[in-house]
Amino acid sequence: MGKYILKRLLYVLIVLGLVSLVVFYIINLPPGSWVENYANELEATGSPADRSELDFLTTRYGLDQPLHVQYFRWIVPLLTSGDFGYSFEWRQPVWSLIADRLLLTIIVSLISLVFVYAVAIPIALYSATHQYSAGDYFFSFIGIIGLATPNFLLALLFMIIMLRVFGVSPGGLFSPEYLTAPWSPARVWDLLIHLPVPVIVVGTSGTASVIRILRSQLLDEFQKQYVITARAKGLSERWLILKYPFRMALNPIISNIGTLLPGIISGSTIVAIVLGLPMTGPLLLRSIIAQDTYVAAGILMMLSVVTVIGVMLSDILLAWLDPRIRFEKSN
Amino acid sequence: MTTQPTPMLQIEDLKVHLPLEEGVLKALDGVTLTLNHGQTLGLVGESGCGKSMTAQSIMRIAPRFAQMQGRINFHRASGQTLDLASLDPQGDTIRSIRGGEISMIFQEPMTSFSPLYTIGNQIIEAIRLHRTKDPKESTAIAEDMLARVGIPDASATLNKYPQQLSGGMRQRAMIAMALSCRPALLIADEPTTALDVTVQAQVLKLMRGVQAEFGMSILYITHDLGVIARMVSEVAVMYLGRIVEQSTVDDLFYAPRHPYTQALLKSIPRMGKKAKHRLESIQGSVPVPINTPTGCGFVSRCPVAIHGLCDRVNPPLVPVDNGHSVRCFLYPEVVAAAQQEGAVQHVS
Repeated sequence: MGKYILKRLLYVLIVLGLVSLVVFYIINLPPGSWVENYANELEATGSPADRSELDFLTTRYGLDQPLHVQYFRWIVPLLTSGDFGYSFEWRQPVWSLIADRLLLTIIVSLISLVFVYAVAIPIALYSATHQYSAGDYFFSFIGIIGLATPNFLLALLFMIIMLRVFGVSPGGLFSPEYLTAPWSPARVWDLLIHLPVPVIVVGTSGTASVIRILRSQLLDEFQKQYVITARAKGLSERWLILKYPFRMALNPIISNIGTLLPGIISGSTIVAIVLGLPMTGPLLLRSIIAQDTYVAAGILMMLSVVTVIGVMLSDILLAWLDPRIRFEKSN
Repeated sequence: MTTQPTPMLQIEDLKVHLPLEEGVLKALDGVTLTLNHGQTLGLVGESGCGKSMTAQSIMRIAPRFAQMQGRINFHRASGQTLDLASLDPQGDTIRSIRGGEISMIFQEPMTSFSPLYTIGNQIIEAIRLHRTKDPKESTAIAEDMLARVGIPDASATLNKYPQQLSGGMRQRAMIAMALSCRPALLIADEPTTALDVTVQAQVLKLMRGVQAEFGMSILYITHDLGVIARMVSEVAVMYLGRIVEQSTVDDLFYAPRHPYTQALLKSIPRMGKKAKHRLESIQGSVPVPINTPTGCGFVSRCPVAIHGLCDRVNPPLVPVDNGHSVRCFLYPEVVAAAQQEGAVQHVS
């Protein structure tokens, strides 16, 4: 098992290295750079640009150099001192700009993930054990609507409900008075009462798909001989289902974390824009439009790190849960 | 064989119907069967004739949507008689019998155990349900059972996963599990079908051995007449959800009465027969028992069917000889019984 984890860690490093190359290359595909655009813009309005500052940025980040040189000027400080570079547009270091948003993104994504499983697993168990019952049809119906409704529409709907029914300020993750306040118990509570809407909105489509996957998995497993054998032992039906087919059906669900997590993170971008959430999505979009290279690269790198580690954890969890995979890996 | 045989399981007119979209599938259409204490009864028939459904009905593990009628009287060791067919299939009563007093071995040793738990976990689970809650004792029983069914290094095997064992070893473990709670009745549903011939012979020998040792009754389900000849004393032949013939094993092989049994016996490959001869086979195939017409189920394939009788009336199962019952109008006793029931008009 230790060897397996080490091997997976090595893969993670390789994948992240490749991701950094691709990310940097794609961000730099559009012609020009932020400095050029900025200088042009200023000249067009007639006010003179601060040439010395622009020249400093150009030389500091080697914007006049070929792309691979720029890449190393970005990646080397990042690896050696955790320096994510400088945001041209915001005039501040990238890390101070994205740290808070990254934390909130991870919080919202993880809570959404927990929400997805907490809602989907009991519903799937019910639907599979009551196949073709009214309840099963009801949940299938809701699930298909959940899959088919665009997230932003759901977000708008919930904003109205939250404002009209609960009187909570719609949008954002904080009330205005806590927006820039330092972290305190009151601020955490304020965050908690604002979380349900984004979590539900972000998690709905994931919940619907997990219900469908788990339900069909369970129905498949119910037919298996080992379930009939277990039933022939005289086990109670509830215990039987949890111990045998459910444990088996969990495997694809756990390996699904790897695909669910990136889906939640990228799916939350539109929701974050609609709800005005201080997450990485909106900032990423703006930085790409403005060619604010290091902000975009920094966000994408950090999201990749979170996703790749998430996938690795789900793989390790799977190997730990399923003896078949364990043996395969050890051999 | 000195004492009078006492019945342990009496199935009376058992009907199991499966409502499907295409119509009602009559998986069992009036099965009547008696199994005595200490007896090994063979149940033979082609695929789809209802053998496995009979077994699943006794265990009450048939599909939930199956509709069941009739009685399955089980005489418990305590002297109590219980109609298994009337029990709630998820209730406490049937669960205490299932795996305890009646246990079952299945056809598929490769998939009979869950790959996620060790063999020991899955066997001990059954022992804890029915025999003892004590962890040490139940482990000891499981280890002892594995050793008795001929698994080398039983204590190590307890900690192995099913996929680490061969098919033959898994079936042995399955037998160990089925016997671990000392059942009064063991239902073996084609336990050797999926095994290769040498392993098959070992498992058959093992089963005869454990029966001699434990003295339980066995309901042995198979489509293999060779296995029947080696394993059982009494045989019931099933066709299309009904028992068509029942007799001692010798009687059945030397004097088969029902045209289906006769055809079945002719289609066994025999050593010494010239290779030039084509192997005989029964004409046609087993009809799907959906919306079956009245009459004998075998009529469409029967070479000696009586037109106007066999296709109209379902013959009753009637004793025609000492301990030999048959469900066929070729025998006057059967016709007489049908007349008595009023199913058939007096004809010359």
